[in-house]
Amino acid sequence: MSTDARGRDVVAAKAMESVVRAVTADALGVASKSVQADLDDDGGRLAIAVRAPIRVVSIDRLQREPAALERSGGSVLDRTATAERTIAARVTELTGSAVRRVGVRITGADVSTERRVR
Amino acid sequence: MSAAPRLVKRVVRRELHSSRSGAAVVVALLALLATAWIGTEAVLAALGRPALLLSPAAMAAGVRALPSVQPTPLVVAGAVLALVGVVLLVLAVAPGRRARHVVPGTTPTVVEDAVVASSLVRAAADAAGLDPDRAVAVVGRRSALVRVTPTSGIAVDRGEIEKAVADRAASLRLQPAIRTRVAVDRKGKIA
Repeated sequence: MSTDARGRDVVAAKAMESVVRAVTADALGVASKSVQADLDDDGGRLAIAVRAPIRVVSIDRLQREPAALERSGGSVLDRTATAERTIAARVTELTGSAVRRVGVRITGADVSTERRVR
Repeated sequence: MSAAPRLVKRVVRRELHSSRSGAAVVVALLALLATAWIGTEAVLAALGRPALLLSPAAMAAGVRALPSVQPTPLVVAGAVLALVGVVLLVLAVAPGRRARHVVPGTTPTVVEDAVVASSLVRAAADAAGLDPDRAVAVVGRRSALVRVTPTSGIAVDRGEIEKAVADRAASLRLQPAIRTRVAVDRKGKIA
């Protein structure tokens, strides 16, 4: 039987959660530790609910350099919406699991200077 | 081969059906005690000796007096007797099949349905790439149902699982043959 030659690949729920947290942290520019992720099933596909702070530009900096807002990705709401799409796409890309919906709940603001990014 | 075909058939039948000897022995024993007691009382009465419990005349009087007994205990007693009767009737008439199948051959093999179920589960899990504890199988005499819970976000191919399960069922060469069905849960599980 050909099926016997094939192994089983199982991704543990914890691993899935870690991936979701890392992806979320990356999308919001915060530490992976500060992200809480809840995974659920929605009609056979993943339903992701995350709670995380978001990195925001300080007012000081904004006054000195108004372009910093645009560079950081726009308003918090815009960035959250973008993050939802990014999370769905990257989780699917990394784990191969189809994602039905992503809910992001911003729990705080992380005010710090932007990093130099590639 | 070694054993006579008729004997083999008999042994297989005994393995596939549950024995009713227990119920038969109990009923026969009760009947024996009752008739022995009535017989003894009749003889004692004929000899003019005192009765053990009730003389035949007293028994007859008791039966005649039944309508004057309070109805509630009478009804209860009747219901209990009727229930015992129904149980015995079912035991007598029902086929008493055990959850087993035979693999016929020169040396027939009797297989517990639990073993068949676990084999089908394994086939389904292998075909779906899932852990075996994500599939459950219910095996009946002529049909089996395998239920698979997919992993969230990873679609499973029901047709492929169906084929694998059907192939496995066929390869077991059970008698009677089992028709298989596969159901995939709408809701998956996170890993």
